[in-house]
Amino acid sequence: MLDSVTFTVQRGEFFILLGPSGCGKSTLLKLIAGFITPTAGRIVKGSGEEVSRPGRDRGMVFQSLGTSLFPWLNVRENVEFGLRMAHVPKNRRRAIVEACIAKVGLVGHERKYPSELSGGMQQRVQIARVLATDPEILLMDEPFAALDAQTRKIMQKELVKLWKEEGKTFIFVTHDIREAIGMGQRVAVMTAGPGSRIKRIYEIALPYPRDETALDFVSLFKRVEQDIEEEVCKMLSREGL
Amino acid sequence: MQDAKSRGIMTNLHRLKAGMKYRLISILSVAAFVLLWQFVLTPVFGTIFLPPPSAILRGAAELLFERKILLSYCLVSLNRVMTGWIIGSVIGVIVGLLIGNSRVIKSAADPFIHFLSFIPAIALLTVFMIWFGVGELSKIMLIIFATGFTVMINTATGVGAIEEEKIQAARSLGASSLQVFFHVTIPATVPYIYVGMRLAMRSSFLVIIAAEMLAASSGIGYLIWNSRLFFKINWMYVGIIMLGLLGFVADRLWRKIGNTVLRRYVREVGRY
Repeated sequence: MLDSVTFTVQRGEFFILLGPSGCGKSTLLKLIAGFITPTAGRIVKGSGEEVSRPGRDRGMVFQSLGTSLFPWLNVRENVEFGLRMAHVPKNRRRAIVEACIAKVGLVGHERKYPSELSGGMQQRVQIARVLATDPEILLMDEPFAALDAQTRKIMQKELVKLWKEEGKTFIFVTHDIREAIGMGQRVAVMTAGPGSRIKRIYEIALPYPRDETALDFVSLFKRVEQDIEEEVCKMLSREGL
Repeated sequence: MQDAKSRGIMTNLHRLKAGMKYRLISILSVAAFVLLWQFVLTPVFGTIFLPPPSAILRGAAELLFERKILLSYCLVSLNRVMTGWIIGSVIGVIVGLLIGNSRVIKSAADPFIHFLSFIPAIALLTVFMIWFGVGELSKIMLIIFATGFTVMINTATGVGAIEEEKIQAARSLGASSLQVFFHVTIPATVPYIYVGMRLAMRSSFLVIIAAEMLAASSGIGYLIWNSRLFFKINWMYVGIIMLGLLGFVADRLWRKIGNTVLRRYVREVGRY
C-alpha cells in the first residue's frame, strides 16, 4: 500500500498528513501507532528506539464515533483507563483525570456515558483519555471528519490551543485541505495509492489563529488543492473513470 | 434517556404517569381475557375441553392447601433450572471466551460445538440417565447441556464483535494483553452473555419440564403429566400456568439485574 515513505517529525511539531482517500494515510498512522508492523522499512522514535508495538508514548485518537470509547465506562472512567492500566494510585489518578477533563472542556459531564454524548463531546473524551497517559506524540486519524461543520471548526481551534499549551507532538491525518492548512506547521501531501508516498511537504508559516480568508492562506490552499487534484485524477484514471 | 437526574422532576412525573397508564392497559388486557375465558370460551367449548379460570383457581387451592405439593414442586423445578442454568452459564462463558480469543481453541472446538448444539437436550435424556442416574444429577446435567451451548455461542460471538479500535485504543493506552482481556474483552462481551443467558433460561424451562414428564417423581412437569391419571384436568392447567408465571418472574428478575448491576454494560440491549 505504501511505498518509500520517508519523513521526520520534529518534537513538539504539529504535523499533518494530507491526501486523497485510499492513499494510505491512515495506514501510515497505524504503523506509527504500532497496530500493524511494516513489511519493510522502519519507524524510529526520537530515542533511537524502533516502533514495534503500541505504547502509551503514542496516544491515538480515532475517527469513528461510538466505537473507540468504552461504552460501559462513563467520561471520567474512560479518561482514567490508561492510568488504571498503569496502576497509578487513586488520588493521583483523580487529579490527573480532573485536569485532563478540564483541558478538553468537559467539566460537568464526568458521569455521563458515551452514548449520552454528542459526537464532538465524544472526541473530546478521546483526546482527554489520551492526554491522561501523558504521551509524547498524539496520533489523530481524521478525528473531526464525522462532526458537523460548526463543531469541527470549534474543535480545530481548541486543538491548536491544546497543542500550544501541551507542547506535544501532534501527527494529524486528514483529507480536508482547509483543516490541514488551518492547523498544521507542516503539511505532507501524499500521492494516490497503491504504492503511495509523500509527494511534497509544505511549510505553513502563517501565524495562529489562522484566517482562512487571508491572501496567503488562500494562495496556499490553491496550491495544495492543485496537488491533491492531480492525485485524485491519477487515481480515477487508474480506476478507468 | 437513562439519566434521571439530568431531567426535571416534571418529566419524571410525566413518565411515571405514562408508565402507569401502560401498566393499567396490560392489567386490563389480562382481566378481559380471564373474563372472556370464564364466561364465553368455557361455555362454548365445555369444561372438560377448557376448564374455567375459577376451576383452575380451585385446583390451585387444592394443590396448595390440601395436598401441599404446589409450592414444593415449584421449588423443585426452579432449583433444577437455576442450578443447571448457573453452572451451564459459567461453563458457557469460560469456553466462549476461550473460543473467541484463540483461533486454535476455536478450530479444535468448533466441530463439536456445531454438531452438539443441534442435538436437543431432551434427546439425551435416556443417555444421561444411564450416565448420571435417575436422580437430580441427570436432570441438572441436561440443563447444563441446554444452557451451555447457547451461552457459549453467544459469548464467542460477542468476543468476535468487539471493534478492533477498542482493542487498539486500550493497547496504545498501555494495556497489556491480559489487561485487554479483563478490561475490554470481558466488559464488551457482557451484553452478549446477558442475552445468551436470557435465551438459555427459556430453553432450561423447556428441558426441565420435558425431563420431569418423562422421568421424575416431583416438579411441575411431573404434575402436568400425572394430572391426567387422576382426571384432574384443572391441575394440569395449574401446572401450565405456574410454569408461565415462574418463567415470567425469572425473566423479570434477570431484566432487573440488567437494569441495575449490569446496567453500564447492557444499556444498549437491556431495554426490550
